[in-house]
Amino acid sequence: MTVLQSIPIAIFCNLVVYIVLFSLWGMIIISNKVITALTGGKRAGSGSGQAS
Amino acid sequence: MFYVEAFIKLLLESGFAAMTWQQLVMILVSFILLYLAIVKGFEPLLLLPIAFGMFLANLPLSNLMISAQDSPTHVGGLLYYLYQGVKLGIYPSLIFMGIGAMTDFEPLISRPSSLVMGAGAQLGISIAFIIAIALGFNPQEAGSIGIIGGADGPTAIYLTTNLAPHLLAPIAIAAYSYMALIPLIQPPIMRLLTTKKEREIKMEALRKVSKTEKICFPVIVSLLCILLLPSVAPLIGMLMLGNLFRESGVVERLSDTAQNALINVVTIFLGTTVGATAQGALFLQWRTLGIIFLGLMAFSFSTVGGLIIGKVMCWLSGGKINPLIGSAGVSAVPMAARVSQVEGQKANRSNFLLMHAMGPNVAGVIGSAVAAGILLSLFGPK
Repeated sequence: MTVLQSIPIAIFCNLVVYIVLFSLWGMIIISNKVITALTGGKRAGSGSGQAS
Repeated sequence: MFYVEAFIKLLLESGFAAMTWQQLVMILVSFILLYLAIVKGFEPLLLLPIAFGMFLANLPLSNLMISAQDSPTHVGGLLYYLYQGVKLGIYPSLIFMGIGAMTDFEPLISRPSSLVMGAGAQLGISIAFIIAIALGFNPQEAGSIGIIGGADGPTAIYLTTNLAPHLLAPIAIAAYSYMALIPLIQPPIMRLLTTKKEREIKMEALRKVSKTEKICFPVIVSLLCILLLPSVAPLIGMLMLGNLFRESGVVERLSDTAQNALINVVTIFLGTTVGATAQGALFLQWRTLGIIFLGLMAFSFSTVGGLIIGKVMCWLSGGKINPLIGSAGVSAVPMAARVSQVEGQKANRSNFLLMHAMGPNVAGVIGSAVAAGILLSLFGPK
């Protein structure tokens, strides 16, 4: 493999890491809303409400 | 005469007569690593068994790492059998279970945007990969070297065992040594890439996270990550299983075992056998120096990547996020978070960044495991 061939592969790897972790961010926010809805909004000390 | 001849025969068949210069050098290297582990406190939990495993394996004729096929008695050496747990990817996965049982993901759950910083801090993996290819390593070797930038020992060992097992010893030693050097490597980069005003930013308190959220988190992470990238299943699956033991609150014994007895036993086996793979002929090559250089590049660029994302998030949040926590995306838990705390307090004595930095820190563990899964998918055995 040449250096020129390795660059798009490295970019691709980095991109996939971002995609997976961004998706996880979205899933956590969605699940937070679902849990809040199911538990009737009762959570242990909402504090400053900073969700993201 | 008989006794003299017997004595000479004993000497000629001893390890002294069979010692090669490579073995002698490796024994000296092992002494240096023992010194670093014991006296300087460099990641002693792993570096001490690695160093001693290296020492034992390079004592001539000890045959501790001899395979059953190569052994004249057709019985392999002790460390050869224990090494199978490394070769089959068992030990790194079990260590991840212990790490999951020890880790509190609350800072990440309460601020899930930390995941982006965890992603940013994997930049060093890509940069080191490219430089490794430029230096003549093949893609499998370059991927194994690049994962040092993930700053995660079990992940590095897991990937290297699959992609480039002949580089296991130098990569493991480089990874754990650089993890111990994080308080030296990161601060200059942090000061270079952030302004004093940014470093002084005090962040709002994190919200409290419910027990339900903490229990759902490992299930959600496993579901999403493993469906998207099946090759991360062993690492992410075990990490989240351990975390579920901790958060469910109904299996205290299992959680306690995972984070204490089990992880300690596996650490002993893993460290000793990884060190034992450091045979002179494989280790004493110019490429080992290349790996040490590339490891530093990987760590440095991972810090840069995390900081850049930290700065972007600081700007997007209107100055509410201190960019210093971005460097904690380098997943050496909790060392990298502590460095963010120290640097934050240097700028502003009343600034407590530790818990804020733990979010990207644990996100980095997930990020590096995902990066390893991608490299395994691309370059692993088909």
